[in-house]
Amino acid sequence: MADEQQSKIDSSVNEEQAPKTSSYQRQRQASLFDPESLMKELEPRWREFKNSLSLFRENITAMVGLGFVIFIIFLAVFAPIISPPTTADTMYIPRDFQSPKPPGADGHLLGTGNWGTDMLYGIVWGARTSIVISLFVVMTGVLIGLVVGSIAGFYGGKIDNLMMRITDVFLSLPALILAMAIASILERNLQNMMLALIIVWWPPYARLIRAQVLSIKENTYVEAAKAIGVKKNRILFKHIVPNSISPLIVAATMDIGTVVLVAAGLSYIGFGVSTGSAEWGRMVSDGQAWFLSTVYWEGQAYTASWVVIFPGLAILIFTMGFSLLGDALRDILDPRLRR
Amino acid sequence: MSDDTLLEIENLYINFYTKAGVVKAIDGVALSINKGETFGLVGESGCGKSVTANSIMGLVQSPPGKIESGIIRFSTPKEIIRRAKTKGLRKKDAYIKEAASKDKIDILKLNKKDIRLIRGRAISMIFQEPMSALNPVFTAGDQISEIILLHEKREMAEAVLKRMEDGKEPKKFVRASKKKDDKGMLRCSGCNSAVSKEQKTCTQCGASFVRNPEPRIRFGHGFYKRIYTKMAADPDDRMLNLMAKIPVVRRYRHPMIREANEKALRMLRLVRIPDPQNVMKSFPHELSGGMQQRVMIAIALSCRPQLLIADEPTTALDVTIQAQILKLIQELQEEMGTSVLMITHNLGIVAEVCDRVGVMYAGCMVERADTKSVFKEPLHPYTQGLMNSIPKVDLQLTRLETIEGNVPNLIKPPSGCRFHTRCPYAMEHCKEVKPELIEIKPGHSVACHLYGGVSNG
Repeated sequence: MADEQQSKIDSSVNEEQAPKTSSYQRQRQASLFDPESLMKELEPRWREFKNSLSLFRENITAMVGLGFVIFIIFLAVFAPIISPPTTADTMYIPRDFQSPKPPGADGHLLGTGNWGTDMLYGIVWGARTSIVISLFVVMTGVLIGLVVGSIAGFYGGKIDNLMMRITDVFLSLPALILAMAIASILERNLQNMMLALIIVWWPPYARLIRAQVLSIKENTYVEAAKAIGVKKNRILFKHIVPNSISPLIVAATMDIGTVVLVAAGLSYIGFGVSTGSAEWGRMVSDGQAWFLSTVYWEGQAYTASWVVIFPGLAILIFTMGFSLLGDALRDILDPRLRR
Repeated sequence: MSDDTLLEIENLYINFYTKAGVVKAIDGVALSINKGETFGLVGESGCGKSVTANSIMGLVQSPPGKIESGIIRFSTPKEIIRRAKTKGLRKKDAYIKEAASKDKIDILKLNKKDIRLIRGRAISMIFQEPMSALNPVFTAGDQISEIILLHEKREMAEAVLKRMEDGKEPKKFVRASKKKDDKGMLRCSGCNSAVSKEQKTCTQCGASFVRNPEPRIRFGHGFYKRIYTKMAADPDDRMLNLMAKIPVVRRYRHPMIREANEKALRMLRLVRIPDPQNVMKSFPHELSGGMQQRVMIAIALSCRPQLLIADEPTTALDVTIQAQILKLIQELQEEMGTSVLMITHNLGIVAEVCDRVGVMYAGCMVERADTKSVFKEPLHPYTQGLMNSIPKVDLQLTRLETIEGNVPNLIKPPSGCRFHTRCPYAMEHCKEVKPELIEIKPGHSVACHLYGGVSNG
């Protein structure tokens, strides 16, 4: 009886289309020849992405930030060409064990630093280090924060209490101090510094996403999803998280810059990589002994400012690039400003 | 409970435990909905209409809500009972046994997993504001496909299998081209027989002139066939559900998703949406309110539910669209044989679409009858007050009548009849004893002491 009705409905609906080929398929075939239907065929997500992209292009802050970021990425990608490595360990900056030379001296474009390390090499390969550190720390932090925060916010009650108290433990200590404590227990290398940073980095993300989930889960569409019989986990990760993730994306983008700053800080006070490594914070720290002291090159006196200024400038550009980008993303992802 | 009854609620009591006190939101509501009819639930805001509807769906938030007692008997389709039975270790559950004999389940006794089988499949819901009831990050098509893939895996798998067998899998694929012979006639390059310009395959030798003639699964045909046969036999198969979670392996679902999209498109046609292909790919914010509500209706009806709960479906829409949506719901109801529980505070809608009406006041059902007799002869003083507060064409009034007073605070509801504080005919008796819903005339029940509706004299 019910099946009869169904087939009746289906047949009445189907009249206008040829029964054999799927309409989707026919449309797809047509689109190969017809540019107009090709436009229609564009996936809705791609359409939204294009919309965001045009908003992005109109945003000057975003473009400036993007310019900085692209510059750093360019340095990192072409590092072997700009400054070829001399040893197998690319973190090791080639050096001549002399006092610093000014920029341009003896083929060193940006001069040399402590122990005569090549500044250009340090900056260029430091860009790689920074990108690796920042992306790895932020992405892992976001992942942990996302899972912890969203589960805590959605399920509430005891789970929420437990997870948030654990988060509070990490938040109760100043991030830098905790990172230093962790880094000092472990062996001093890049991996351990990243580990220390991840451990202090995820709690704010967990907080952020929890607050978002708490507000999003009250929406009618969540109730509607329940009303069609969707499982709880699926509601959380398919319906709530995509709606609440944009502040996290903004925060994470801005933090990519901050991580480098903090990592540089850790390296500077000696908790990161070993001395003479291609890491900007370490380079500032190494150059400090020579900063503003007078060095002689070919009979002329120079005030050695480049030993600190160049790596500092690199940190500035990197941090500013991502923070401008994040700032612009905040505007672009804001649904109230979108349309 | 006769065989014709789809849903029967008996003595439903729901309390909300808030900080201010216990809100006695539903106080002994009883109603029944027959197969294929429209039951209207009328009342002021906050009288418990929506809570009643949510309790049918098992959506009462707890805490703070708690269903104290009551029975919601629903005549559940056999397939759902079977699925609930096979799904796990719950064969020993008493209600499943009971259901197997009578095919009527008490929804309130169902556990969380089983009620999910009913939601969306047997009972579905349309919400008041379509804009906020549609998820902004999914397209309309995605949202319709979601419910189809959730409840109709079996049907989708069968459709894929059918497509695989339906000659979509040519045994031998011969490619040929059309050649002009010396007379300018088109001929097949394979067998030299005459063909027309439109033909895609040669009638003589069966060679194809098109590069990709039909959508088909090229690789692992046998493997996929086995998967879909398994899926069609048991949509809850653990192995398949596990496979659906593994990144690359989960692609076996793609043909099913395509079938679901096809069905979503059919549903959009069914709810009379112009240009359904585009609407499929539109995000909710790109659609107008009326269109959004149509998409909601398409979602709600896509699994052919036995009961559709429409929670003020037209409140957020303007008047012309309201009429369209109501007409659409009515038409689809007739086509599908669905029952509708229409929750509204608009008596005009009740008069237009409902077969029977229940009037609610402060968590109680005060009058229940078929629409005609309620409008002709309202018995309960509250219903009379409601009727008097509608403007009438044939009467010239300077002021509309209103019901004096306000809705009582349900933390401390009035004793006895909850309406006695506002009732023009209130007696001493009314303050002490709560009237029961008693059938005064055939099919017309009222809970009022005026009609001798006292439990014991």
